Amino acid sequence: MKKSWDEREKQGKRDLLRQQLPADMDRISFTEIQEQENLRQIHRVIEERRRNMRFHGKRMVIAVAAAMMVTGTITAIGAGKIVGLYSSTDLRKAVHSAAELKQQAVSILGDELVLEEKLADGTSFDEGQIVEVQGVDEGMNKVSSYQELTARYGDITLSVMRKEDQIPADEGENKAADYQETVGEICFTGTENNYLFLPPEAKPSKEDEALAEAGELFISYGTEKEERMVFRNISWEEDGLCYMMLTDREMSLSELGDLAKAYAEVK
Amino acid sequence: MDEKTRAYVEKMIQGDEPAFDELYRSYSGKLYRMAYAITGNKSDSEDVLQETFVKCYLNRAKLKDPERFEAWLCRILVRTAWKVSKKRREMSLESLLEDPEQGQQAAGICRDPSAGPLEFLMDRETSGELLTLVGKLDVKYRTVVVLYYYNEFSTGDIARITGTLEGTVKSRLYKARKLLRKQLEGREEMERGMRHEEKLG
Repeated sequence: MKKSWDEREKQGKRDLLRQQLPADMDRISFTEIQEQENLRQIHRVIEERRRNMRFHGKRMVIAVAAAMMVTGTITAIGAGKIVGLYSSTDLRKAVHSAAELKQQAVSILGDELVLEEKLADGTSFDEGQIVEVQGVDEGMNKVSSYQELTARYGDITLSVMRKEDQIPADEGENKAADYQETVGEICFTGTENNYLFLPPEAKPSKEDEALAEAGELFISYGTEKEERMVFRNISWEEDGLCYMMLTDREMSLSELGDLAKAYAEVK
Repeated sequence: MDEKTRAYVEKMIQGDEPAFDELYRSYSGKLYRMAYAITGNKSDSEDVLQETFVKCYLNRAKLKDPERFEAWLCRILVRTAWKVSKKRREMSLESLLEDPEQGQQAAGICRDPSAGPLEFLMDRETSGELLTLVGKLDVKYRTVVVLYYYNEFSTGDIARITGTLEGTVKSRLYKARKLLRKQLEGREEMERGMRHEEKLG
């Protein structure tokens, strides 16, 4: 005769769930073939995600490098067909008027682009240029490229590229936004990120590499000496263009967000 | 945690893939069964297992204390499984029955084609009956039951893993036990009635 819950607990002198549930669960089969197949799949996905995460981070690295006027910036190298993004900032090509830069950029970014001479806080346009960003393979051969506008307003940099040139990242792999606000149809998102700038031949430590893979640190090569900085950025999309405003100024994401909203609303 | 596992965790944090593979081999079976108990089917369990280890490797720098590895891994698994369960809406271990191989092993049915209804019920007493009932609980209750009775985590650890208060964990455990007891006794009542009818018949 089937025993009641109490009888079974009394017989086993233990909580019935403690007695029986582990035994029941251990009967769920997980074969060696399943184990091996899942491990293979895990390594495949890790490699895919690493590539996508690197690409996602690289655009910000390029923009920050432009903001810092780092010449010949190359982002972290990894495995895969396109292993890095490379940009070269040529100071001689920089222009000192927003109107002139816009004129240069129209053929690339279209008529919808508006470049202001001043930000809402009164900071004036200093200089800017169109930068060619190249996707390179392991041998540093160019395999793709796109154009990106960078405009410097004091310690704030505005970066603009076409939406269609964006490198897609895996869903869920982008760093969660630290700031988000929607005005009308425009969604403004912001993150605060740690950057490590290294000389071209330097190698990051294992700890820094692990942080970079976890999306906690962005690494850029091309400075004279090692430097660690924190940058805040706000991104938004409008008229098929992706805008990003970023700065290392001591200001909150909310304050930077206000500047970005004012900039977008101006348009 | 034993010395060997701790050493693997430390190496994995440094990016050592063979160490990661060893950890996978040590924990994958247990985690797969947890995922199975929470999501209720084989396909989702494999997805949850894979996603858990992918996140484990890519976020390894966030693991500050190697001793907390298992709890940290379970936290990733539970969050991932909840996400999958939410997508699938109502998942229960009833779906085990849709998978012939897993269904037989976990629910403990149909081992001997000659076995009659009584034998079937007797066997079920020790073969997967509780797991089937756990699978009928709401996913939040199911999770605390698995973490407490299968993984043997403390209620404090479960609170950290599930991101809830320890009091909430205790209350969910209490309610889960009450619900399971009610379900089990309801079944027993029904089975007694069936046996009585058989005798009369």
